[in-house]
Amino acid sequence: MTSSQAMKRSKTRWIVILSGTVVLMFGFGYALVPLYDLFCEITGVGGKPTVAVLQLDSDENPIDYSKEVTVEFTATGNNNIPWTIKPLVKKTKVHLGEVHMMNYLVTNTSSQQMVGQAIPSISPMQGARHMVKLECFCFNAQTLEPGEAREMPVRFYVNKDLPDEINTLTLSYSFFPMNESVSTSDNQSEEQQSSS
Amino acid sequence: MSQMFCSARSLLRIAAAATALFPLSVYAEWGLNLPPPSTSVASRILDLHNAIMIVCLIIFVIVFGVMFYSLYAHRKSRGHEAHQFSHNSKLEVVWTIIPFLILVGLAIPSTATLLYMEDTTDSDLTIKITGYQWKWQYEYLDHDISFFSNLSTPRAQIENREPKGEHYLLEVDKPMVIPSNRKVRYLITSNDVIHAWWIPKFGVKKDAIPGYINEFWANVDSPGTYRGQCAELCGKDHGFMPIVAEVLSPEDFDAWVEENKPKQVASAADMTAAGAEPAAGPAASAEDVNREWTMDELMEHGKTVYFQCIACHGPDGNGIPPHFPPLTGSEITVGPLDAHIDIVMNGKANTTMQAFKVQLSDVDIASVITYERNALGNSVGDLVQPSEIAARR
Amino acid sequence: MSAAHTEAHDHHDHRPSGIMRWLTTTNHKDIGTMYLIFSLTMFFVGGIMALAIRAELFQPGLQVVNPELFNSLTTLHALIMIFGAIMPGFVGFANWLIPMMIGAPDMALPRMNNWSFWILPFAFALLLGSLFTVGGGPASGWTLYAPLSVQGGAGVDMTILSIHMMGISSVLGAINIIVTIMNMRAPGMNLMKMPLFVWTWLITAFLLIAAMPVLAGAVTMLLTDRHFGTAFFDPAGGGDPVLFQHIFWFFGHPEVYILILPAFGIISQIVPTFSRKPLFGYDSMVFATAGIAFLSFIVWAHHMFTVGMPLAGELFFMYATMLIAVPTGVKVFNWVATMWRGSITLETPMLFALAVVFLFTIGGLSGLMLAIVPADFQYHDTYFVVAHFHYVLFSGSIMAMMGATYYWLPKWTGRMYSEGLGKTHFWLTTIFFNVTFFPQHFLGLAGMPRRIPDYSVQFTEFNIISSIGAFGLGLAQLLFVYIIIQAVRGKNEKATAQVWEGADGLEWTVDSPPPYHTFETPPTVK
Repeated sequence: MTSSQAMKRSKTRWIVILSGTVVLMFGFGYALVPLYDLFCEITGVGGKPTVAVLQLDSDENPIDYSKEVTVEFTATGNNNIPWTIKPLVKKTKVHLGEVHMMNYLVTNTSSQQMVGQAIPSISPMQGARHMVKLECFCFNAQTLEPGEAREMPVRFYVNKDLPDEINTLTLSYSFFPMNESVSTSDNQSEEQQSSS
Repeated sequence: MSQMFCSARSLLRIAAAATALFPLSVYAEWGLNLPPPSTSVASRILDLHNAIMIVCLIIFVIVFGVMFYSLYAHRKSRGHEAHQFSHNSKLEVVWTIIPFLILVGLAIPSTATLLYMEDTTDSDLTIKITGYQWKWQYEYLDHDISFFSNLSTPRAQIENREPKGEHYLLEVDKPMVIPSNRKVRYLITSNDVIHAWWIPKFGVKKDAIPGYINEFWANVDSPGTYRGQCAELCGKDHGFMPIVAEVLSPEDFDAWVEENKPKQVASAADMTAAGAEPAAGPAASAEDVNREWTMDELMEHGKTVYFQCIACHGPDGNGIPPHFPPLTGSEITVGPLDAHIDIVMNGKANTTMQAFKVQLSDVDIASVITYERNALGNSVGDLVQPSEIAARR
Repeated sequence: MSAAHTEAHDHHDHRPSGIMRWLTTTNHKDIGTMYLIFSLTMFFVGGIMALAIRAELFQPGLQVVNPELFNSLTTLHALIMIFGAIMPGFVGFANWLIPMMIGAPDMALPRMNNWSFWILPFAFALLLGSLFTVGGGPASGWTLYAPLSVQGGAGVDMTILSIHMMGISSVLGAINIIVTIMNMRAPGMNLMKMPLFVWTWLITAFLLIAAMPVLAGAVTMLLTDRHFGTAFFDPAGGGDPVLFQHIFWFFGHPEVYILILPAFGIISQIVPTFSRKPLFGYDSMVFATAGIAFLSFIVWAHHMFTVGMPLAGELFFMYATMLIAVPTGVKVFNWVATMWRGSITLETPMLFALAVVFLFTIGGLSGLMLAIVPADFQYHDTYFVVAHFHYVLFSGSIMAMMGATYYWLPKWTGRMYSEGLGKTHFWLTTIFFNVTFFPQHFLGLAGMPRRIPDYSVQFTEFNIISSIGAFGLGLAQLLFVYIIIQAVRGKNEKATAQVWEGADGLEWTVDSPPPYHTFETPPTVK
């Protein structure tokens, strides 16, 4: 009798432990999202650049004239937003620690007011966290009137601890329509289906 | 369901082909190994591949030599009595350690090759590759050259109405051109979904990921034409977006750059979409844009441009419902002209309909719109002049 | 103890007849049978899709299916074979055998057992139903990579929902198996005396519990990205498409071992029986299985070397993946050592087991090649990979299940199968399998990408051979069904309780067929 009760208790215990694990692992799937971001930030995977909030004093940030790196600028569009993005400088040589500024010319070629935002990516990814941006138009909603062209500035420096094997960094922007389109995307796909 | 199977006739055709055991293609290569390498990376990979193959074969032969000997010699039918042993610690330790050592032996050259491949420094030229559903764009960052590269195999070959050519599905309208014996650095990204750029003889394969940029390099030994394909499932026409690289001697490459460079910097000012340089790819002379085109001229040119639309909208404009709407009798093609021009130029959000103003010239766009409105079973009767398109840029 | 048994009696004894018996049954043997029939049915459904794919690839050009349907077929073929054929198949064997092997009267949670089975037909009806929606079935490959999977229509949502249901089913099944093994073993049956099939299933069940919820999380994120404005994988909202691949393969790699570990268990039962010798290195087999299971959680990124990872990441995942060869090698060596100086006979189950050891090793070695990062850049997403995982999953998992069917069928039905037909089925399967998949290694090396409906002419010859092999392989399986039906109908020679001369284990101590309730009084294991 007692052994059967003991078995019942043991079964219940196992069910609780295992169900708990299932819930935990489901949560772990979601936890991978911030963990991955953290991992990316530390290692620079995905090439998300560091955005410095504080402007560093020039004394604290002496320029290393012994090494120069080439920084290239490029941009990629997107089907869903008829904007053009063009770096006004294609490539430049910078000393480590030297603060540089350059502009992208962004034009809304559509006949509507549109909101877009730029996502930056840096290659090689090992260099991403060494490229520090003091000012960047990325991740901010940018509203452009029909036909409006705007110069958007990027101010950055390349960290002194850039690994020696990197001598070219590429900064690439991709423009995406702002997320209000997510709610409309469903309507659009319905429209697409009904129109077909 | 009706479009699930193309037709019963095509099934019959297969059956006929099967019974006839049709003559083996003259292009048969019967290749059993990786293709001959044409870059230092590819040849290192080939060496590595051959080395692993040999190690694997040796292990395989030894292990299964023992097994088959046992199956032969230790069978009951030969009167073999079973020996009831079930442990041998020494043996078990040995066959744990030996594979481990073999693995270390394989890991060393693999690591060296990987380090070599990852070094993109000191390149002579940078090309940015952008994947689209379903084509590639090449931008020469140092030279202001940019163009799209589309599959050029005719539909008739794909649909078995014509014999297939030698480079069936591995041919494009405008190949990427690069110099030999130069370290070319490639930046790669995507406009929509994930693609992967791969030329087997170069030994490189890299994913094109929207919003992110990857890089790799290749230094091709000798001039020639090299072919590859998209290697990451990217939708309907994943199998129909080949990669062709035309490798020229450095001198010929320089000449090619001169020839294809935009003639005037000024024209780059009225740029088209998204970082694409307009002048190089779909350039049409100002003269062509500004003159008055006749209906016949537009229709004739439009028919050739429409080739780019066939993959989705079909040769007869029937589309592939529900994925791709028909053009015959659709609200767009027989409706107001304005909306038609808009969708061709700017594309349609969240669909594979792209903004073709990036890829096509004013003349191309005007022609193809005119063609779509007056062919494919439509007869609206109006036409668009290239100058109108230019005005909308 | 006795109270538990009377309780069990109350539940099971007055069973309804007809369809209600199967709908309401909580008997592990009934449920096992249903799982196995379901698995076989899905094997044919997925197989017909594979034949449509091979028909399209028989020659260059588009002939049989259009590219969209082709993509749906490759996607559904994979989902159905993995979640519909292999996993339920192994759960079926687990249901039938685990209680009988550990001397338990039934599974620990019989009603949950019933639910976890009956979820499956609905899940797969939903999955197959997606083919008939306006946008067609899911066409992004079974890996459902974002952002391609964000593009599809309602079919993708149905797929996501059906994956959730399959996940719930297998998690419930896994909980049941663990609770059974941890609580219901006969006196004296300590863990290190359990048959290896039970051990491999115990470890598989833990893998399921750890991995399936992560998949559920991944597809839920996909669903909210598609419809509820989240941006987990959308770069526009600060998400990352590569993140999906990381989460997916964090599930996906353990999943690979979920699909193969029970097969290792089956081989470890069959080989000793027909060698008339105990299994060589029982302890090291258990540890190797646990080692493989552990490693499976730290190698996931080897599926995505081409996405552009930092060098350190690529090196780590390469080394960890290569390490898996060690415990896997130990298993193969142990099986060979089990045969060594045995007294071997070659009945159909043994033939299948030998083929599994031989052919799985080919898949294992090509897996080692794929682990080498620089070489993987050439192999990745080509037919070389297709060949690799079919050598692992068809000649590993599926052929192990066929061997297991021949091995235990006499026990279940009380009748022998026809040995001659069984051997014919074995040879047809083995030969046609190799005709189908061996040339795909060459295709991949020559540069043919996977998941394409049409290919350039240089690949024609090997594709013709492969397609011919596929149709042979498909037809040969009709013989398998015939052999099973023949045995079930009871016209064949009667089987003894022992069935096989060299068989060892509790399941061989009960009659063939076993009574509806076995081990009501637990046996004592010395």
